[in-house]
Amino acid sequence: MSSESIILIRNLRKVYRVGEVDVEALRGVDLDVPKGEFLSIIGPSGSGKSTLFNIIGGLTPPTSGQVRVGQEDLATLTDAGRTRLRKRTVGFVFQKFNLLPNLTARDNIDLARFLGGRAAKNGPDPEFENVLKLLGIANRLDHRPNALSGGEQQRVAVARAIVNHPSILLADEPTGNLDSVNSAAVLDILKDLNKRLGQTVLMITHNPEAAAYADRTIHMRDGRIDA
Amino acid sequence: MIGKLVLENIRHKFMRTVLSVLLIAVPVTLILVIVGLSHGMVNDSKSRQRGVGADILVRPPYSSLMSASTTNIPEELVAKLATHAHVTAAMGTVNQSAGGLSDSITGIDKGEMDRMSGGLTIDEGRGLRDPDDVLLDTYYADQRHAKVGQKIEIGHHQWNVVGIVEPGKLSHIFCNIRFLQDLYSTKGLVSQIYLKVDDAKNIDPVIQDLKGQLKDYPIYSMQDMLDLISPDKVPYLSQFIFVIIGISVVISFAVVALSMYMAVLQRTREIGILKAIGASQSFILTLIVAESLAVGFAGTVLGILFSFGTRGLLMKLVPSSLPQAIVYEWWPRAAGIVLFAALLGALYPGISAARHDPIEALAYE
Repeated sequence: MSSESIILIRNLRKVYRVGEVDVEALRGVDLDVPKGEFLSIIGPSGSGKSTLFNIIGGLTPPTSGQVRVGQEDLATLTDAGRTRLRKRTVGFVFQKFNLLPNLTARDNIDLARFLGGRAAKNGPDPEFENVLKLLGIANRLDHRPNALSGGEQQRVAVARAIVNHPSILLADEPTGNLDSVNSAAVLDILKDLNKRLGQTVLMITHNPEAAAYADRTIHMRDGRIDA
Repeated sequence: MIGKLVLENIRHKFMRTVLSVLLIAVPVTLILVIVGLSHGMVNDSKSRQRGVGADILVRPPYSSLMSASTTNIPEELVAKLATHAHVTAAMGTVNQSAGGLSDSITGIDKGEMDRMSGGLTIDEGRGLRDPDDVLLDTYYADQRHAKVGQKIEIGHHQWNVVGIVEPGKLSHIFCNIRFLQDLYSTKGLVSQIYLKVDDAKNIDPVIQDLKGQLKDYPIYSMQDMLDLISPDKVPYLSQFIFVIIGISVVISFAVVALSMYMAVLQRTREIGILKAIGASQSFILTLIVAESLAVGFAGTVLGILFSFGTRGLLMKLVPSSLPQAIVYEWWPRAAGIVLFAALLGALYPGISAARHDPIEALAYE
């Protein structure tokens, strides 16, 4: 593993059991992601990019192979270990925003902060207050998701994902539910976070224009990364 | 933060929560009403016994304190005991069922009653004179909507209501002892004998003396008897309450389990989101348990309020037969029972939620 790599994957395989059939979602993936890189992963449906994203994010364990995220070896990590990874090392941004509908934007962000163990001991986070201003949602924080536009919801989701200063931001089709104006705004934010704060960003997308925001793009097909 | 999440979840599914709270309130009410009735009826009986003003009670041979009265004490014993050196008054009474759940009609001799207790306080009408005369206390008169001058059926006999008396002395219903003895073919017999002694310090010596003379008769000081009368001395009552508690646990468990299972189903996606942002299995289980306990607590509070409602209703409908007490020491017990059941009911849905696969949960629509 390169000293600069924050993600190192070797011969990663993932097999899902669907009914009585085994489905091979990843068939030997190798990947290095240097710290501070903005990487986009592009590929058709069923190519395995979401599975790769879920394994890197600790949502599901690999079937075989080596996966290192930060200092963690995901192949040997327990469920509690993966939960710890999701708390502090990775932050998620989803296509459908996935904010908790009963909570205000502020509470959604505070909940992630609470789960990350930062709420009580650290108090206000001036750096994060600046990020909220950067995201342009400082005056929308007391609204519930159903009172926010799609673009606003996704910005809240970005804020929630980075509130615990994770090493890696994983964005799964972050512009998939947004119009072009809001898509551009969200992509600008991701780019800005990457450049300004050195945030490592992995983004899945179908959209080549969105992929162009990244420093590097990899293509996936049939559970493998195209050379 | 857990408190806020629980509160927001409850607010978001307000009607489901209200229904769950309402259903949990039912067993709480059931427990508190059963316990309240047992305490209320016993307290009512104790208060009326205390109102007699006697110091010693002589019960029929081989009877127990809580058994129904039989009428088999020879009446001449009343006169004999009245001649005891330290006895200042003796009163024999006859008790017969008045046909209700717990009511009885008590035959008294007016002179004996006056000497023993200072007499009944008549609010309306007059005292006992003729064979069919009956006096009702205000509770029983209210229960039967009876007025002075009316005829009333008690124990398959038509009585003339001649007076309404203040409650708290011996019985809710009084008639002439001679007539009651004739009516039930117990001429020359009484159900129990009350004695008043000249000095409190003579109560125990008199009891010991009488026990020597009347070997088969249970004889109690009134104070001991009042101390002995309690709901846990009522035959099978504690078993009955235990059954009611069992039913309450089952109902509360089922309500909470169903409610939280539905909640977990409805919130599958939210559970996936929580897991994605780092919620542990224990955090999600805690969330479900906390919400269940909040619902259980609200159900307990509502059940307590309902028990005041049932007391008011019973007081309006059957103040004499079913006096319901508010037994404060059972509030935490009822709460403990329901919260225990709520905790059990939360475990399966809680564990199921905690074990949700985050990817499947996030894909749930």
